Amino acid sequence: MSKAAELANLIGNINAGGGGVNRNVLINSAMNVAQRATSSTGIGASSGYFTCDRWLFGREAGTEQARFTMTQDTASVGIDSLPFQEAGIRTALKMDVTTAESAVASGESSLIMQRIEGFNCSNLDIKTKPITLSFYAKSDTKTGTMCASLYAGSGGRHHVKEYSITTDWQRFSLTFPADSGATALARDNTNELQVNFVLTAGSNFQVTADQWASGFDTATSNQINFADSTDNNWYLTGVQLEVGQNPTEFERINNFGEELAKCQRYFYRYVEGNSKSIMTASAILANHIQGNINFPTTMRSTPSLATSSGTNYWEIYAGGSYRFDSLSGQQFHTNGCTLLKVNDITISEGDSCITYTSNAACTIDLNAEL
Amino acid sequence: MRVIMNITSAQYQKTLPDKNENDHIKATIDGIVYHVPLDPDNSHYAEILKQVKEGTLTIKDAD
Repeated sequence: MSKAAELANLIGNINAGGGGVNRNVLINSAMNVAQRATSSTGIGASSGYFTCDRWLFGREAGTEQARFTMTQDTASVGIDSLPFQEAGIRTALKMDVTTAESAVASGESSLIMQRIEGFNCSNLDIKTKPITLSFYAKSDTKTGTMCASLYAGSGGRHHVKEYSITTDWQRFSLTFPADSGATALARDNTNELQVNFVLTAGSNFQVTADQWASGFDTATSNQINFADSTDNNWYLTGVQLEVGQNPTEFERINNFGEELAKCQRYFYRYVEGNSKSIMTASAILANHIQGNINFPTTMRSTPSLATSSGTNYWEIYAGGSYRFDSLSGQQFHTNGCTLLKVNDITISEGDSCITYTSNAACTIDLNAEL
Repeated sequence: MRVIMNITSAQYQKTLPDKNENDHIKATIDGIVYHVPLDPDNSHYAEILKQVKEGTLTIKDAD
């Protein structure tokens, strides 16, 4: 896009209430952040967040046979290739089909989504203003019609659009018109707007393109079965959702720390690896320690805690070293929680100790995802 | 779409050391053990409540 055209688009969007910095309401849009893992295999057995933060893999029926390896990919994004150099993009989300599904049943579907919190998207007045979704995507072998869609949670409304994927990187721009039948997006911490990229979709989820309608539908009948061969790989990066009828240049992410902090509102890996400090703790009773940890940013909701467990995974030092298998928590709130261990350790009431990890597989995760 | 979670166990946990009230639910969700706070905005807790309402999950009382 020429600079003149870019400026014209930006002015058009500003006139529609958009434009400016922070115009992209999506988080981790260049797939920079992957707190959980950079690669995960066997994706498809369940829905969930596996690699790139904020990007949710979903499957509908539970009978889907397709399995994927999901990767924060760097090889596909050439460091010298434009437009990635201009946009500062170095990573992409890759879905590699590892188990093919020859036929997609009516109730089956697999897709990649980002759920947008109402606090971050209530500026999108979907009743009166258009929204533009732009992104880079490509395939390694499979080509054809793919679908992307929006789903507005409050009113339960969807709008599906098609794009044609090839083996070359392309910048796609899909403009969703205002929806006069919409319910205004609520300014709260719930899932108010969702962006969907479909890999497979059975007939139950297929509708007519280019119109707002009720229900959760994500594709048209033209959607190809992207999981029909283990040769298939799908790539996505540089995803931008903004107010206005025009796609503007991808909003470059210059500060990794800011992007990480945005992700940590939804998922926070407090510790990972061996011999890492966790906290100081006190024995409020004999052989019963408690300590508090604080989160770096206020989380979206009170988070769930997941700690890894295994033989001698965790350790305290209080005049002597004691290892134990599991760690639990309590008294959670959006800014912190208590970690505790009861029994299987030796410490006198009133003493303090330091706690740390004792296995490379140790992780402490806080999850407040949508 | 609803992200359907495979929840194989759920049990209330009391706040320690007093054990006066339920603090959270210890649940195994998609093979991972979570300590799930009793916050309706927490997606794990919301799904637990849905599955309890549908009759497919029972939350055990705390020990």
